[in-house]
Amino acid sequence: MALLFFIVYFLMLAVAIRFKTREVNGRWWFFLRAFFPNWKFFHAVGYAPRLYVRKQSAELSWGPWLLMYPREDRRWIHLVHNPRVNLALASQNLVEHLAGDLNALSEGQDARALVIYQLVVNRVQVDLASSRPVDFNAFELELRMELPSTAYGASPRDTQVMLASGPMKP
Amino acid sequence: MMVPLNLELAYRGVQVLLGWSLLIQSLEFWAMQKHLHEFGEKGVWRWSLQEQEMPSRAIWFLSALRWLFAPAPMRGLFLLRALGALVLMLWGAPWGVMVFLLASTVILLFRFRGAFNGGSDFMTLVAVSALFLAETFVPWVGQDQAHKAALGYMALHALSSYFVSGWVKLKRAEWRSGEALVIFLDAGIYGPLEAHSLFRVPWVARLCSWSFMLWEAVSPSLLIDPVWAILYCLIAAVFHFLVFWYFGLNRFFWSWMVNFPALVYCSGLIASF
Repeated sequence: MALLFFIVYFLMLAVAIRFKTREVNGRWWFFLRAFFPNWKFFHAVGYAPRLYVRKQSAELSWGPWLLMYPREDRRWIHLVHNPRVNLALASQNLVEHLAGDLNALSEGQDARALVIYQLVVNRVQVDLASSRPVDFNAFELELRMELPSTAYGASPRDTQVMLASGPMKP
Repeated sequence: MMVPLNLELAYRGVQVLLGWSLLIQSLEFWAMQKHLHEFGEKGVWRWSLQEQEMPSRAIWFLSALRWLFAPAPMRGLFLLRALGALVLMLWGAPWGVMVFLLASTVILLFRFRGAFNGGSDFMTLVAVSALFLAETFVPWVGQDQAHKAALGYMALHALSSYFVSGWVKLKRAEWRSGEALVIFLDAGIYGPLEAHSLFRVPWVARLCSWSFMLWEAVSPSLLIDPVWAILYCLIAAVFHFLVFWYFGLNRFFWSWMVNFPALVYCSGLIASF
């Protein structure tokens, strides 16, 4: 009986995977989505969101665009205690959520009003405050969608700017 | 066929592993909370900002969360959660402890926009809710039935996670060619693959991709043979370790391991019919 249940369940699951499921929206659903996991990991290959930031010096000249992407040193201890890396991963998730929410924006809606946008700006401000040089006049960020290359150190195969913040005060 | 893991031992194994996983998560959260530039009133994750997204505008709901998500109460919550995890590991799961662990897990969903660490949060919730429901229903259906149902529920989710994850990749040409593996490994938090990494050799990448996609996709097969179930779990441990090694996802390693006793038990149970 139990075996039959599992067979039927996985057959149904196999059929369900073949079809694109309808996306369910709603705030309660968003916050409680962990109760209904879809278990699709690392499946989406294609354009990936990347955050770029540049600073304006006190002399009003803009520096180069720099990629803000978490990179950490690997340690064995991380298997049992890894707060720094997990926080960095959560920060990168903010960038990915921002890209998703921008796609869902309706016509005429201002991205700056999104909480997720402000969280990303917070992330940038805090990181810039701890980087050198500390004294800068303004900063701006761009959210780019990049199609990665498989070659070592190669530039993305394609880049599209999804969002440009314009200058902001630190 | 003998059942390699009896019900009591499997359930206890789940409790110990879940307690350990929750302890690790709680101590990590506690360590993060010390950084006010992250979680303080002017920090990145400041609650005054995130509060605007709450699905309910009820005053009592917002006031409760505002109080709870201030730095000091949050640190207290994580210490209590660590204590609850220790109780679960050492003495099992009294109903009150499971209520607290489930409630605090849900509270964290609100704090971190539905998930802090993605899939590991989802799998942790599966295990916590399974044990909570089991302890809740013990007075009505008896301990054995309640514990069996909990293990079955966990096994179903664990197998689904591998099954879905494998098949959705098999559908993608980039995964079948091995290209996706290199792209994801290059994006790993511990840095891109080295220039001469073996994974950059196309046939190696293709072989690795196919190996673990097929291994994931056939996960339900472990239910028909307990020996295969044990072997499958050992491979899973290596797989999750590699995910940690390249992507820094230590919580995935532990939260999936919680299910292993449930998988081996369910396999033995089905094989014994």
